[in-house]
Amino acid sequence: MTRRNFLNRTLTGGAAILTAYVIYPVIRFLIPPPVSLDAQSKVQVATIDELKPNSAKFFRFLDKPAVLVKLPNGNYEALSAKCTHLGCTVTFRQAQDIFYCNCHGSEFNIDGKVLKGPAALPLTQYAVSISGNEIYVTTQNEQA
Amino acid sequence: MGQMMDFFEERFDLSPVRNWIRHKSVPQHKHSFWYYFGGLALFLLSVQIITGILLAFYYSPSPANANESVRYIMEHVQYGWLIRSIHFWGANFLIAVVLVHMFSAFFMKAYRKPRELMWILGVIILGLVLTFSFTGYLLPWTTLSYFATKVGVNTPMVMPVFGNFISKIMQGGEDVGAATLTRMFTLHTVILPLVTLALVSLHVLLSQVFGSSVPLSVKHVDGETRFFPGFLLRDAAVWSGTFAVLVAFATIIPANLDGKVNPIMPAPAGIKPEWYFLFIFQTLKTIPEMAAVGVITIGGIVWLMIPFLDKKPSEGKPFFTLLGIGVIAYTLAMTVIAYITTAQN
Repeated sequence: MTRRNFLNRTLTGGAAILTAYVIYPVIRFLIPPPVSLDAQSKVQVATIDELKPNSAKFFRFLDKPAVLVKLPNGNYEALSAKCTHLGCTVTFRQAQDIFYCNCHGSEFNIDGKVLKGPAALPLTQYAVSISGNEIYVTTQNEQA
Repeated sequence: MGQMMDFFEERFDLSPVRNWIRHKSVPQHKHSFWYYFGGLALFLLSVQIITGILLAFYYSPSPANANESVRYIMEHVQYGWLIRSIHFWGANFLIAVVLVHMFSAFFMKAYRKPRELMWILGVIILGLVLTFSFTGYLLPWTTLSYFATKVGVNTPMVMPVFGNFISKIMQGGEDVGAATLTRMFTLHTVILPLVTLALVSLHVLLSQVFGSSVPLSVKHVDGETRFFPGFLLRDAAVWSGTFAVLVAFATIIPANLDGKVNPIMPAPAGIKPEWYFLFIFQTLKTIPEMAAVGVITIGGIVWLMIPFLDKKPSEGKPFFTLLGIGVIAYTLAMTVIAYITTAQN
């Protein structure tokens, strides 16, 4: 290897290391810091007499949209309202008892299972508990 | 004017500039009409920059104030509605003109040697113009803009390895929110303008170096028109006419402003993106998102590399012309299907 080649390679390598040295903190800076969601893993969503049978209430849970549905038999279901396809918030269609995504047309049944794509994964289910007159939603793990 | 020229003449050697002005010319033939679209795109980009700077005087990029500040521009600032409407329609005009410019260059095979880099820069500039539109869409903080951005930032998630990372950087958090708005604002008003101006300058510089490409099908060139003043005056006439149409659109159909988004509520019925993103929207609806993103990404790379794939454009083989027709047919078909299906829902 000639001295010129050696210097060329050393300088090129040095410039590459210097570039990485500058870019690395910039990329790390752009990645948002993680948010602790522990404090929000149980929320009071509604009161017993607030929802009529076969109606829904949207709320924010774990920093994402969620929905509480009162079934015709009086039971409650809580699910993530974030469509598993590309993240739009689903709407509740009372007449058909389904969740429908207005963005790309995915359909989910009342348990969150996919009835029609393009979504491939079900909506996340949450646990519902009633304490006195108040309805609470927690993650499934939390209740277990 | 003369005194000002004398001032510069005494200090700089302007003879190369004078020579360049004297000799710059544009070939005249049956397809010369298409040459106007490059200059027109440059003019519309200038309109966007000027109206964008004006809007930035009043716009406030926070979820609490964004929608209100745009409403303030529309309802209280003098001619605010006009400036914003020109910016809105200008974006639509710019994308349409850049598309026409690109496809005319494609069908005239203007990408052939030595203009390969011009083509690559042009395709990247189209991507930047579309990114301008995407990042600007969230800024009014309306329901439609919120969900359009949600879909946009969630789409890269399906890409292997870097998908999640790209999505997180775009979003600035777990969901679309205040951090997303400031990121989109920074991209829209600082990063994209700087990158676009640099690449457009290079694109224009190369067009000065190589001159206008004459299509292979043109066997007879009807002479050359001097750029100064003949072609430039015609250019100015095209710009004036387009600006008149743009102002007419802005005045007759001003940009609307929906209410502020409530991030908890469902996406509204009939939601769909602007016309230039409809083919992507329909593709995502029709095939699994991983396949859709793959098709669009590979399609974009192939389109970018056209000058190197079409190795012998002078042989006049119709494959690449048919490919271009196929791309247009696919885009139009998906766009029409998207309009129809959204209306039905």
